[in-house]
Amino acid sequence: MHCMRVCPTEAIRIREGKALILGDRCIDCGDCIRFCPEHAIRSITGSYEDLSKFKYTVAIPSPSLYAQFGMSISPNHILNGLKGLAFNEAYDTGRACEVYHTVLKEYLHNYSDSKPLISTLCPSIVRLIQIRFPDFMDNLLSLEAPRGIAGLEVKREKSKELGISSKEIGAIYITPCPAKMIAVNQPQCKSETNLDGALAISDIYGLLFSSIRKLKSMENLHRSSGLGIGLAIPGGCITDLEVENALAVDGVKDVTQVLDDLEHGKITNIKYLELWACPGGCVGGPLAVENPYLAKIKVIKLIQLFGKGKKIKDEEVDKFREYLSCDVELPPHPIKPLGRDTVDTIKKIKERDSIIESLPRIDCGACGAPTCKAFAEDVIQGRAEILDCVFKLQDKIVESSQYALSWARRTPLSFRKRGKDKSR
Amino acid sequence: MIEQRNEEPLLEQEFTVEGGDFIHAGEVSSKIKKILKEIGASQEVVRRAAIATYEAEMNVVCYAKRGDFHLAITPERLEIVIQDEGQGIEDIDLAMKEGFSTASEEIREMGFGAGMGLPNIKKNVDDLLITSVVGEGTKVTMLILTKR
Repeated sequence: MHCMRVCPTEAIRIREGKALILGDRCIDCGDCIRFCPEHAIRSITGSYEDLSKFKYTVAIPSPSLYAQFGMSISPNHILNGLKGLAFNEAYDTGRACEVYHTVLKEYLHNYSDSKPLISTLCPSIVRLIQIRFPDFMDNLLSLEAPRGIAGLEVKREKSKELGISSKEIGAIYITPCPAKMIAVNQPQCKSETNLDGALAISDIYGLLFSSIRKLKSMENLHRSSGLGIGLAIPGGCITDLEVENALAVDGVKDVTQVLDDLEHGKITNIKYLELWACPGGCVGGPLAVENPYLAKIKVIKLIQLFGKGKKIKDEEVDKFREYLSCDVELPPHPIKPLGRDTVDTIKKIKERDSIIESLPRIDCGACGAPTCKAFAEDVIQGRAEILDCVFKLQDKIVESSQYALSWARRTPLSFRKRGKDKSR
Repeated sequence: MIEQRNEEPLLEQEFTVEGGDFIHAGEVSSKIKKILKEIGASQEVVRRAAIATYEAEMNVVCYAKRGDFHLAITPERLEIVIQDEGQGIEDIDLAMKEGFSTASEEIREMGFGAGMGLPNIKKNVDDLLITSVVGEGTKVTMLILTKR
């Protein structure tokens, strides 16, 4: 029930006591996972066994992982801890973030559309736009995310260094959310993804922590500045893009509001929109462990500590340029209208509205739909029957009882006055 | 000039906008946009209607006491009529000019009143008719053809 109520796209119904997810509405945001008190909803995550499929494995942590521990545990501790865990190597994704940041900055410099360029870092946002705001599809940034850039660099470097094919190298993303887990298998940008799997931060957290505590010596694996780490929180490094009017918005509700306002022209003159499905950005991911507010402070401190001057050289960035634009054609996926054509749809909308009128409109959820409106649509589309509403059922019982009562009041023939039995 | 529609609308809805209510400003155009998305109107129609109705709504909020929105949808067209009670427009041709505005300093400080409202409506609709009686109110009729 909790999941059904919090789902920002009304994608959950309760059937047989369990949550049923309507795939065409789900944006993979993971709010259902976050809010389920029974922890009954889990995302399909990878496991350690997947690692054995590869000759050589490299962990590619989301920068949000750097913010999951206290200040005494540095990004370098974390990368060395990962390496000591089950991976042959750990890659500092902050480096890929620097590539991303550099190219994005140039991209924005040449961008002149009246509508803002929309960041595609968060796969749930891309889904939300496909489903609810197809008009903004053309404004989605066509640039591979840092996790993909990281995968590419890992495969390039390691296959050369070890003399093995890139397929034998397992590039495993350490993710704060199910959306990016899904994006590994259903890429939104590059059809040939360079990531081979993903593990949830929450799944490796305990083991990673003990691996870090066991560290005796450390290699220098952390190669980036604070610029990349900034991508773990909304607007972390947005000012460094040097664009006038760049906006960072987090949480599906607020994002929806901003996109809605943009559609009306209520918000204008925004050049870049950095949108995040999770409140707090990646550190607020449903598979992250640390309190998102504490994690945010840590990110800010790390940015200060390592500075915002990028460490990657321009010629290193150039090596990625050819690869970075997306080749996946993302189609819009608007929710299907209720009817087969405009006339039929309007007829069904009227039917739906008259059903809503007859419902209590308290969104109690007993019918297994999040709102009375969603229930009315379920009735129209055959996913539910009107008597699945407890209030409608109660009306029906009252009606049938009155009918039964009318029979109960029937006077036996021996007492009945001629022609005066009013009971029926 | 707007031709009379010869078909009965498939759907009609009424909305009211209160003048001066900046907190709820934009809700009516948001509702209209939602209906259009629901009926599966094309992205272009949704976009044009969203902008035109929002501008009209802001005009009511900024300049009138109240305004009644009437939305009628036929298979061919979208008709939105806004009748407001307010100061009216003295010179409609002048009001249609980009940059012309009678907005008060306060309204301009809020980021409105740039004189783009009516021109922006005109840009986004297929036909527009404005009639006004000074001191009484303004009637804006706009038409968007859904099949072009």
